[in-house]
Amino acid sequence: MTKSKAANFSQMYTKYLNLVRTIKALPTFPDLDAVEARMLNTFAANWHEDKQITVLEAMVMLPEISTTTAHRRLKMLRKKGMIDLNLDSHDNRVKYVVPTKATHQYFAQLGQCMEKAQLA
Amino acid sequence: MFFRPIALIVFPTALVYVALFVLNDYFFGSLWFSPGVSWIFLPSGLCLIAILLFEQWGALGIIVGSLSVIGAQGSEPDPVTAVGAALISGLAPLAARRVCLGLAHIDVHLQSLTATGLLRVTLIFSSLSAALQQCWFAWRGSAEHFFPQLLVTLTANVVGAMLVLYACKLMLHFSAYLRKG
Repeated sequence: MTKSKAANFSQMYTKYLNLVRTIKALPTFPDLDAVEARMLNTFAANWHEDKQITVLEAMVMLPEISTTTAHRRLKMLRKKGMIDLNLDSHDNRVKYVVPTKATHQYFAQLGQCMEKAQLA
Repeated sequence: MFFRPIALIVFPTALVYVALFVLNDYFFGSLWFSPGVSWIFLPSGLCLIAILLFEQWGALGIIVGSLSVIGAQGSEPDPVTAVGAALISGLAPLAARRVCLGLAHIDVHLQSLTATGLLRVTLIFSSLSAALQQCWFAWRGSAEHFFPQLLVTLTANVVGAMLVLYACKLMLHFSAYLRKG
């Protein structure tokens, strides 16, 4: 293969990789709404301090929303893959709200945005 | 020299174009606004990807695919108009790429292309393709309702391109998921 041909294929592959990265970053529906994002932020602060959050605690963490709304939003967050529920090893009646891989990616993305904003 | 890109890019692009055209006809055949003008046009997604990746070879693939469709379905309304439309379907996205390099601030290697940038590029591709196609039809005297058809073609291109892009996103997501087990 000549040098120019190799360069052409290399450029094409670079373009392919860049396009794949962009397609992967396309916004997906549904996004988190303001209440869900706020709930997740509150949970994150607790997770950061290695605190476990039970479902009951999660439902009363935001005083400005009712427990019914909180419960509905918890279900939505779970449906969107942003939280998971783990059973307590000793008491099956207790469930803990835990982060998922998507949650970590979400906060990592927010972190990158903040870093970009600071550099700009 | 020429055979390798033809075998590796032009023919596969043409083949995918025809496949998407058939799929479009099968799934959205009932969404015709008027004969030949649909509300959804999946091949526009391929036009976008092929031009961004393969440039002139992608355009050639689209033209070959478009001509194959004309060959199979018959040249409506007349051969010259149909062949012209096929040429525009390949060349318009190529022109749109040039516009995007200036307007949407993308570089030739797509290094700076962001998700928002890609959506902007999709809009420019779709608008220019729709406008040139409809102008050609109007010039040939076969566009009865210029503006409604322009609007429908633009919508078809945008919706088609978005469907293809999101199908790619879904495939990438699942392929990553399968690889991880």
